[in-house]
Amino acid sequence: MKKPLAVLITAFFIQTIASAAGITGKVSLEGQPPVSEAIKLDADPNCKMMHPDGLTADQVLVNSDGTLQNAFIYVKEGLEGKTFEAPKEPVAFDQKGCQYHPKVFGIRVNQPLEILNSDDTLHNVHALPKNSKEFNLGMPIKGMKLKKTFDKPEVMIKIKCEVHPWMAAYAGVLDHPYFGVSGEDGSFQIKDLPPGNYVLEAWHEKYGAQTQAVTVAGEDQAVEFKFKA
Amino acid sequence: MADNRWVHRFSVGVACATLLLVAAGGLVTGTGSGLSVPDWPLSYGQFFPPMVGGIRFEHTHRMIAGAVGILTFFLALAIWAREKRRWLRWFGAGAFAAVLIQAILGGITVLFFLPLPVSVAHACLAQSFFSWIAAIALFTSKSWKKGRRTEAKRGDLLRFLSVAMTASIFVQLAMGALIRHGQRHPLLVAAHILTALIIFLQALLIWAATAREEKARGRFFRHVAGLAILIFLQVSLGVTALLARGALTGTAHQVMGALVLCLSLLLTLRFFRHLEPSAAESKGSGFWQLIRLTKPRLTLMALATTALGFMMAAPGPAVFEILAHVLFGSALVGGGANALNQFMEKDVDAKMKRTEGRPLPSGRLDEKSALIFGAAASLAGVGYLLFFANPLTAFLAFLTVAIYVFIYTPLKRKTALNTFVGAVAGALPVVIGWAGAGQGLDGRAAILFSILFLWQLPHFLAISWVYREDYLKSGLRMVCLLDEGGGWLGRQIVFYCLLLWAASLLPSLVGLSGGVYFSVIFMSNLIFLWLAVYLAVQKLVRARQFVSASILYLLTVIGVMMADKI
Repeated sequence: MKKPLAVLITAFFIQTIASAAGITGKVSLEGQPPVSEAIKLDADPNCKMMHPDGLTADQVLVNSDGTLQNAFIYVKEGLEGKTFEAPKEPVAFDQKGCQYHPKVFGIRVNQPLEILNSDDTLHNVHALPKNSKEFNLGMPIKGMKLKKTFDKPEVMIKIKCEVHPWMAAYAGVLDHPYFGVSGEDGSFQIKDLPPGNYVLEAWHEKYGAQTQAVTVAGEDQAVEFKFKA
Repeated sequence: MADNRWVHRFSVGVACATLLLVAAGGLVTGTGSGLSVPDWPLSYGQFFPPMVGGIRFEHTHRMIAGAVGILTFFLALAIWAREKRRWLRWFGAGAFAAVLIQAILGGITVLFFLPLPVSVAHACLAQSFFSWIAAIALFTSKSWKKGRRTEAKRGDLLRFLSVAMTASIFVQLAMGALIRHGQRHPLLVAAHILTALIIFLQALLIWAATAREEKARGRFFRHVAGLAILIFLQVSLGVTALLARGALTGTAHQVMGALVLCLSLLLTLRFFRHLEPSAAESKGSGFWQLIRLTKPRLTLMALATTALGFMMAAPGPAVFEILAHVLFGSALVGGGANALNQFMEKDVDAKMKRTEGRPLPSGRLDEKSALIFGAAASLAGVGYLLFFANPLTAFLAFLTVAIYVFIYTPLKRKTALNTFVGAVAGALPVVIGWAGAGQGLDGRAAILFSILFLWQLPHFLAISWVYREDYLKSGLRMVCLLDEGGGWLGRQIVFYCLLLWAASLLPSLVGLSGGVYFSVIFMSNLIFLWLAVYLAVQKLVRARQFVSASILYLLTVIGVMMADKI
């Protein structure tokens, strides 16, 4: 009885000491990105008013240096058997200017998703999970807030609005905190990953998913994902 | 009378509004706006939400639907108040019930995020409802009420073809609805295209047959030609929708589908009302005489039960290749057995009005060919099943022929008990199908057998009553001849219907079928039993209608059981 306990305690200390390490990475796109199509905003005059110069679909957002935004990167394998408590603070999800902010994000199992309508028009927010319960809610009033959770891991869950068919967002639901989204410089960060062998997956709305094996030791590990256009 | 003409015009108006509604509903699906209003029956808690984005399509659809619902209510009311034909009053009331069910299906589809079966049911009922209202318009029209008949040599053929075409179109619409709701499986799309070609061919055949009718041509030609052209346009639209996938082409294809179904149904109804199949039927070539010798309708019905048996026995998804083999072999055996039966009963058939036109008694086919054809087809069928299915199936098929041809047929001249022997032969095809799936026989096969066996007793007792006069002349010993007034036979029919009720619920009790089958069949049986009691009380006056009802009942059992299994 005592020996395993000792091993566990030791392991805990080793992990804590070595846990400063993480992953920093970059996602890029090789080749010519597709031309982003203009959205027909006429369907809702309110949306048109918010974007007098028009709006493009922006399914693929590439920065000037060829890096790719809105890719979701997460630890797919290597954390089996470990449990993490879900945070209580909600993830903010806004409908603003007839677009979703953020467009791609990660959320924990049972962590609240706070959905806000900042627009002076109505939206329906329709999440299409396969593992958790589907919901479709009307948000007719500006400033209206709703809270929802997903109770099973799933990468990715599409969220859409049928009033404005161009609106689409994707949520990666995970039972651990090790994930990130590539930002405006194409980079992402996964912090405080305990040392070990992992499989990382990068997912993009248009280009699908690809995986990579990573070993994390004492220090930060650099990783690069390349999607092909 | 003037009031009734008003009802007719009103129903035409409701039909037009319904077509508009079908189009509006199609746009909801086409633009993917089905869930843009998450609540039902209110829209965002209001009667009238801001008409922006997808809400424009969804809410417009709801508004038109509400209007059509109200119009249908008043139409049903007007028919109820003004119409003398009782059945038409109920038909009108049924339309209102249908529109209510349709509204509830629409609500369910929204509240449960477009569940496929509900969405498809909503689509199919929409198209059927349009035809329903159009049928009301036809039934209230002047020409329908006059009921003048026109002689047509090919009257039976035209009626048969139009029924087949309407049925094909309905199946086609169901497939179309599946495809439109995201089921783009290549096999389904291929079946949809194939059925389109079959429907087009049926339309051309009807066109050709109508064109050769000297008297009926003028009366039906516009309807037939219009339908054929519409079907051609529909096929072109379908190809466009397949390639372009736009919201508008898809919706146009769907609205055109509703129109095609409606015109085909109306044509069928008119053929039955206004055609007088002339006694001097065209002789037809030897080939058609042989086909007639197989009693195609009876054989098809038996094949449907064979398919049922096969589907019920198949452990996983049925293997269609083997099913096709079993059906082909069974068709040969069944057709052959019917030919042999007619060979043996040539003398009796000649004495009865109902059968004197058959190929043998009418002298259009000689006895020798019939015998050779019947024997060859039966043997070939048994052999085919032996090679392509399994020995048990072949043996059961052989048993069926033996019982039907060598026991039942001679027994008809000896004793009234022949009906029971005949029912054994008639119930075996479902067991043949079961065995064809390669599972071996067990209690569940026996249950299917007992349902089919019990179903035939009221069915054939009623038929024999319809043709009682004929049977009196023929000298055959039929059960109906044991009764003078029909009271005793009526009680028999009620008794067998009670037994059938019990037997038909068994599949759900042993786990062969589920709750859907149980509830639908429980209700169907209730109606069927009620019809049987009604028949008995009236001393079998409406035996002919009861026969049709019994066929409808059996088709329901087969359809629901298969659907429940899938």
